[in-house]
Amino acid sequence: MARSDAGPRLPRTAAGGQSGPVALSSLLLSVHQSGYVVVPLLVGAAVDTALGESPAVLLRWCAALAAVFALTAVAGALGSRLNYAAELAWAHRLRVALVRRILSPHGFAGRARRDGELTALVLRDTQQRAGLATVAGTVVPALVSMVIGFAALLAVSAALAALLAAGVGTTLLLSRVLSRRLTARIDAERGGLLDIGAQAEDVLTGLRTLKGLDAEAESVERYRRVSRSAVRTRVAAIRWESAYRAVNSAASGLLMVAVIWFGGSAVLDGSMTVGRLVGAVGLVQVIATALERLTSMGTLIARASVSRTAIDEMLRAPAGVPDGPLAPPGPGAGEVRLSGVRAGSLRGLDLRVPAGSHVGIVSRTEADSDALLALLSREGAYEGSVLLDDVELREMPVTAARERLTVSRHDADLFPGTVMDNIASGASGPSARLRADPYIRAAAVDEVTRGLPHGLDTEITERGRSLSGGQRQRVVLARALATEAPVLVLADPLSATDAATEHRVSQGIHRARAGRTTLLLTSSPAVLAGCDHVVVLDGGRVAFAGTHAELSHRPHYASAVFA
Amino acid sequence: MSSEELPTAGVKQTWRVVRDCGRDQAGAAWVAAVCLVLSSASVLVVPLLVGRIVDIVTGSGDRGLLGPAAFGALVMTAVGAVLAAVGAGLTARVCENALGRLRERALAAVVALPLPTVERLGRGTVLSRTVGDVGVASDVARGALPAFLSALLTLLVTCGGLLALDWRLALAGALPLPVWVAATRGYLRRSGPQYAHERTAEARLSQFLLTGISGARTLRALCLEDAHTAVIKERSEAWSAAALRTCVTRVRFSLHLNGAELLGLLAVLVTGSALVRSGSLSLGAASTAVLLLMRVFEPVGTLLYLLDEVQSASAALARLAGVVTERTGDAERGENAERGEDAEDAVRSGRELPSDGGLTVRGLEFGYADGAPAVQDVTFRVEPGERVAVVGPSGAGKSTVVGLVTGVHTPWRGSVTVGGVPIGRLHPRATGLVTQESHVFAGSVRDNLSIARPDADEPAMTAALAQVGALDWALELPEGLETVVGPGGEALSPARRQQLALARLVLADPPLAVLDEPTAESYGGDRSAMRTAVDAALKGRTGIVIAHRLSDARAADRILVLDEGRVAAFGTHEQLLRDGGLYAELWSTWTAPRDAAGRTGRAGWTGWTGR
Repeated sequence: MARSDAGPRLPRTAAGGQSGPVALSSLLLSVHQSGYVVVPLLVGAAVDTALGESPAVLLRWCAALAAVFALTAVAGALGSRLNYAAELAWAHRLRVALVRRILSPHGFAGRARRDGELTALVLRDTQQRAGLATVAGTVVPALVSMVIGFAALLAVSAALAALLAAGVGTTLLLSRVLSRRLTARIDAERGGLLDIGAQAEDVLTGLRTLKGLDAEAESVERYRRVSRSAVRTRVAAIRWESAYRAVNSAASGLLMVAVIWFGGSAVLDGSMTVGRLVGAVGLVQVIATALERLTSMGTLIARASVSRTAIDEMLRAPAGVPDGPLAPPGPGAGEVRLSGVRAGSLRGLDLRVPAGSHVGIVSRTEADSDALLALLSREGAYEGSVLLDDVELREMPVTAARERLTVSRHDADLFPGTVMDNIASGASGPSARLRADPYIRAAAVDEVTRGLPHGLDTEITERGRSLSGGQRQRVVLARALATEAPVLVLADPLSATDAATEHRVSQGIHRARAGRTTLLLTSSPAVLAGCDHVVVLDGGRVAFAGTHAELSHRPHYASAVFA
Repeated sequence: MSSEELPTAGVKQTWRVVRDCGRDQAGAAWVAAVCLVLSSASVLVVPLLVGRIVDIVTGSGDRGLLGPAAFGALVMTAVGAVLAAVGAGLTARVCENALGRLRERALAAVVALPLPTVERLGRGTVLSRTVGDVGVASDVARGALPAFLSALLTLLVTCGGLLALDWRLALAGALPLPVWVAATRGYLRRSGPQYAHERTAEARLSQFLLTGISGARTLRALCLEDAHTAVIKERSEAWSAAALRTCVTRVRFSLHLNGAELLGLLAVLVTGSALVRSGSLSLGAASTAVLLLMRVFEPVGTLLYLLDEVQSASAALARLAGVVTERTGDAERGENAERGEDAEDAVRSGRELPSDGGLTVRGLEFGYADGAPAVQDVTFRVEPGERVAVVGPSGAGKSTVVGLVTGVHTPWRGSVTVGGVPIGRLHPRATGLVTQESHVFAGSVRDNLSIARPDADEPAMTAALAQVGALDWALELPEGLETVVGPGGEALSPARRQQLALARLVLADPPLAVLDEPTAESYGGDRSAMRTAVDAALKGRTGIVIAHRLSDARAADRILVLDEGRVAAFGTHEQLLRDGGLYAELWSTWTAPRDAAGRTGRAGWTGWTGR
């Protein structure tokens, strides 16, 4: 199968590694196309020499005809199958390269892209780009039959051939100029299609919110407006496309009439016989058909080039977070030390988390906790020092850092599959399901799945929407615990859970992580109560610290935690 | 798969829906058809011209006749091309407008479906059933329709010519006909399921792709990028394989067609030869017949290939029509609602606006599909303007009760009335629900507000923002209220998202508001601001608030405690604490700063090195 490149490198070869198959298929299709030129000539000859002759002569002609016909058909069949396979393999390869780039651990910097835009890029643009295989499989045979046609015509009448050559050249130039204009329209059309896709997705994602406020009608009306404008850009693009096609077919038609006119005069002059004129008309027809095939590729080429630009822009997007050079030796004890850290709203944060301890972090503002989570999950840059077992976090490769220090956010996504699949995806290795078992109980997921039709093996709907907010959080928590990461950061793990469950599950968290470093960004009294220590962030640094019991008497702390 | 849950319409129904969508385009459609037919006729120009020249040369030999004939042919060719362009442009206008309308109706129908149904189907499926299917149909309309017409016309003209020459030759030329029919039937039988399979494979890929893209952050955090990419790669390969299978079937079909062509050609050659030998046919007529027959092959091939595309387009249309007609009643109501929301409309559609937001719930019983009841015997009364918190352990039925009160679910037994109006007759604008995770719509802050009340003016919007304390930050955004937020725009924090949702509620101004955990996503310092915003948003209306944080419950006038689907208690915070039931128990677990896991602070621990 198609080899796929990792990272932001671009597939270099012209046809995405499919040049061989594309060339072979073009060759076969050329044979097929030439056959289409030869068969009528052969039939003509058969009519001339064999009609009315003895059955033996007729039989020989029929056999020859059948042989050429079969060759033409088989070459065509093989060629188009090969060509399509190459196109599919090329598109597949582009899809995989794009998905690798989009889901790369390093993320991508530069222009933000809507989800719908990325989906369209992977699904539609790859196909349009790989459509160049079809273009090659059409252009090459058309050129071949054109050359054959010209050679034959040259033998009939040099003047006719010269006239035709001038006409063909003009038409090709004209269509090239027009197809540039066409590209802009096609680009606009692509934008319109992206907009309706994105708008529909927006409506569906926000359906809960819409239904809550009875705003469905207004959202449908907005979709209608976007859809109308997409219709307008698409109709405009098709109008251009039809105009382009009309100009091309008019050009080849006019050329044809001109040739016949010219030839007809030559016949009247006596410088050409009727037979030769009829033969020449046949050849001109072959050339005109080839010309129309060539120019009809203009729209496909325009589409492919629009898609190519979009794909390359994505593949070339710079990494958001670069890898550091220091691969840490083996899993460490899990000690985390932050000193003088500045990032986002953090203003010189100092914090030492000893190996194996459970530390609660209460943030007075969302900005502080966001900044802390972003730097711990290595999503952004920071100043100062964050040491994980004495290695600077930003000096590590991104994936190595995240494997050792794993951040699980409360709004983390669930993926298609069963509840068990999702939880086991946190653990690695063949016995992942088995290893996940204690964490399922720790997060009280077993209580959730008891009410589901197939228990842990129930398929969850897209993004886990079939579960309630609190249930989803517990599945997310079990998955985070199953990673058994040396350092685990849990952000608001139980914010949507009722008080009784919150109490039970928080005990589960502390038991499951006993002896392993755990940071808990939360304001849940139940979770904080089980922590070795609690620090309170305010104004971008640590305001005060102590145990939950000690701090509970401070009004400032109580207002953050019990309010 | 789950896509089967959305219905597919029958042929008649599909046709009715499509015709209905293109009703205002009928005139343009006729003009387009005439243009396309006339332009197809221009393909006859070349043979006619050649024939004319041969006539001139072999007949009069008059030079003067050649010029006008050729000039006429030039004009006809040019006119033919112009007609083709006009016809194709008009066809596009007709088809795209009709399909656009169909797409809009399909979305309106999907939006009108019950929420659980849409969520079970998944966004990927629904998108492919609305936007995707329209794409398939419109690509066919763009490419295949004009080609189909011109092939048909060419075929008719040529067959007529063949028949006029000699009926015996025409009979011989018809020999491929049964082969064509058999091959086409076999092909369509085989290709139908294969195309369906191809589309399923594509849907499987796009579903996984979509969740991967929207969940990219989670994948990165858990180092699951490779695992997810591997599944996408596998599904992409499966899609390619399915597409290649349909291609192989198509290629086999084309070989059958070629075989049929050869058969016809040989039959005409042999018959023609025999007829010429017997002297009953001239050599010229026989050769013309052979040449004519060869002109039939291409349009026949085109027609049969297009059948395939027409088949996939009609399948797409049938699916779309199925979605549209699924709940015509609701869709129509949605369309009526498009034209303005006022009391008049409410009366016309038989919906009433209640006089106040007082809520009375009596003897409610409801459960999910063929299960035990999730809630039973739920009775309570909320006074107009009162604020009630709903608390209880997971699975106690809080969300179910909210669903029943807001009309998402229909109760098995019991009644819900708001301001004296039974929920069945209640205008949808009487209640407003703010969900746990409020969606920010792609668009400006203004768009996000006006979606709740399209006729809201500038002062109303700023007042709503100011009321929930969001005006300051909204004005500080790069372009103020015109700043694009949501997907692809400025990212808003959860607290701001929630404030925006509350501002929407203020604009919609329902007498009864239901808030699902309004402070769940806010932080210590932010939380008090959030609570102020909730207080402001609920001012002057009845409020039902699902609360997980018991501090939210305490802030309410009364607290409804649910347990195992029944009302366990209903009273003020102080009453419930005094009664010492489930609520008192929850409250003490919540507030007690006890050391849950029996841990103590470690000796020698220096958690932070303060300055």
